[in-house]
Amino acid sequence: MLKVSRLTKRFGGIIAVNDVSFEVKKGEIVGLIGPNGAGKSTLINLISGFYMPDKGSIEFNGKEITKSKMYERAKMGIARTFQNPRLVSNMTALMNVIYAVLGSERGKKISLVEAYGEAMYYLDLFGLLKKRDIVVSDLPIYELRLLELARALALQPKLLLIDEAMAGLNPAEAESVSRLINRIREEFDLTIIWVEHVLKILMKSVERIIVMHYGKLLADGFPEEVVKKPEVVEAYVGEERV
Amino acid sequence: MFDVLSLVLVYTFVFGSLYLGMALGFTIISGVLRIFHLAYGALFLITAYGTWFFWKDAGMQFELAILLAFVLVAIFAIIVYRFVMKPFIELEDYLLAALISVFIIVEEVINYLYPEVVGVYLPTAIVKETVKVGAANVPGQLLITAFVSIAMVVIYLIFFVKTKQGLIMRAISQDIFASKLVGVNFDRMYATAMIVASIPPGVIILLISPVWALNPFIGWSLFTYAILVTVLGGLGNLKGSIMAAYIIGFIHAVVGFAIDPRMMLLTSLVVVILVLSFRPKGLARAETIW
Ligand SMILES: Nc1ncnc2c1ncn2[C@@H]1O[C@H](COP(=O)(O)OP(=O)(O)O)[C@@H](O)[C@H]1O
Ligand SMILES: [Mg+2]
Repeated sequence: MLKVSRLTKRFGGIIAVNDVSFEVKKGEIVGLIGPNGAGKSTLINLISGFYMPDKGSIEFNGKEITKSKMYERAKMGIARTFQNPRLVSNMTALMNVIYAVLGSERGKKISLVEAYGEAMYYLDLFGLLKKRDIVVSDLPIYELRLLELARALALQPKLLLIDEAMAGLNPAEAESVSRLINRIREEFDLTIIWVEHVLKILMKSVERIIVMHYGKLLADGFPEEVVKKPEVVEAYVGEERV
Repeated sequence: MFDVLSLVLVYTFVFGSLYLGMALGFTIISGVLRIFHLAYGALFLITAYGTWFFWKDAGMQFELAILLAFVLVAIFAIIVYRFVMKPFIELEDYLLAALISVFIIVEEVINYLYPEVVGVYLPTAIVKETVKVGAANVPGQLLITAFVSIAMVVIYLIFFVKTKQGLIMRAISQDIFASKLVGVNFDRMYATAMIVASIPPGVIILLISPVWALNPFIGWSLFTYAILVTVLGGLGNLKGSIMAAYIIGFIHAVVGFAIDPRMMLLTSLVVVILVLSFRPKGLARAETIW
């Protein structure tokens, strides 16, 4: 479904993503981990079209999308969330989701009333129905993360990119977000790449883990095996010292 | 005393509504595209002189000529978007210089083809009589234009609140980034907004041309009102523009009837500058079209 080949992105002297290649199959849920600054967000930004790569290519469903614009990729079915939620801050929760429904491929075919109904459904899925009329800037981080997921889902994506769904949440909230992600994955037949800074919760939820370090792909495999690899342990120990 | 009061009230309404109509398209472009459209004045000219061209020079039926003039102005709007705004959207200095050049070119071409002595006159008068409202004798055509202005604003508000495209434009006006994120082809929405915004100036100039005679440089004065209203209103917020239009209308009515008509524009300019020095973002606080 997704094929990333020799992807490279530089920022000045920093090589944020360095010659990274991997494939993700349909229906997979892949954890992407690595210490701070490893290049995880940059990789997500490249796949979603927020940044253009300096080198390498991206294929989605057999189609080359390396040069496609962000909105085109969104229409093709690549949705994402952000480490720092990026919603329309002075619109209500409901409007944010309606907006995604309208932006999606089927948005052209349905009426505003239908879009409204669909948006309510997605809000309900994340327990946000009561918050629908609250302006986004008044929502706490936990609800912002849920709302971003609701908005992403409203695009009816095939591939969902999640950039740190747990950051800033307490353990109970993190647990419930994790449960919701697994639930929508099954219900909507999603392929997911899920970035997380900390390992623990991811370990339980994903079938495969990719580790990045200094922009490079350090390891790729089953969670239990990956975390035992010496280079992975070293990368994380290295971080703890910082 | 009551006479002056009713005069001021009536003309506040008339001026305010006219200015609102002139500013409607400019407000939409400021709000949705976040561009200070310095070629906006050309839209008035193209519709008016386009109508004249299709009617007199091409010998078409008058109604058809009007229709084609609106098609022409829409094409102009698209060309300006595609070849001026889009390439320069990140380069504000170039963009503004290019837009004002476009305006001047249009103006000069029209002045070459139809200099003032040609006496371009469009028979668009719906009412020829003056109408007595209270103590005021208002040219009926101005009243009609005022009501049409208000009708246009209402139609556009319904568009922004009740339609999918309108909702998408409102969202774009708040956050272009989020639009890209949810798959909105903002390029096409920008072009649509440009077309949508090119209709009101044309309607206004066709309606007022029997009262305010046409000349190739009339674009500037109408554009001045559009800028005053839109800037005072908060640069791209319709609520703000509505308030601003009637405030300026009121100032013009007071100054025009109680002081000196020649002081109207100057006074309103001073008021706008004063307001902006206390509220740099204009009357409306929201950074959105509605
Ligand atoms: N827009 C940017 N401009 C400059 N440097 C950036 C930018 N985005 C990321 N970087 C740098 O790229 C590296 C990888 O960052 P990032 O992808 O955010 O890491 P992670 O998400 O794994 O913490 C860091 O050194 C970061 O400072
Ligand atoms: Mg990150």
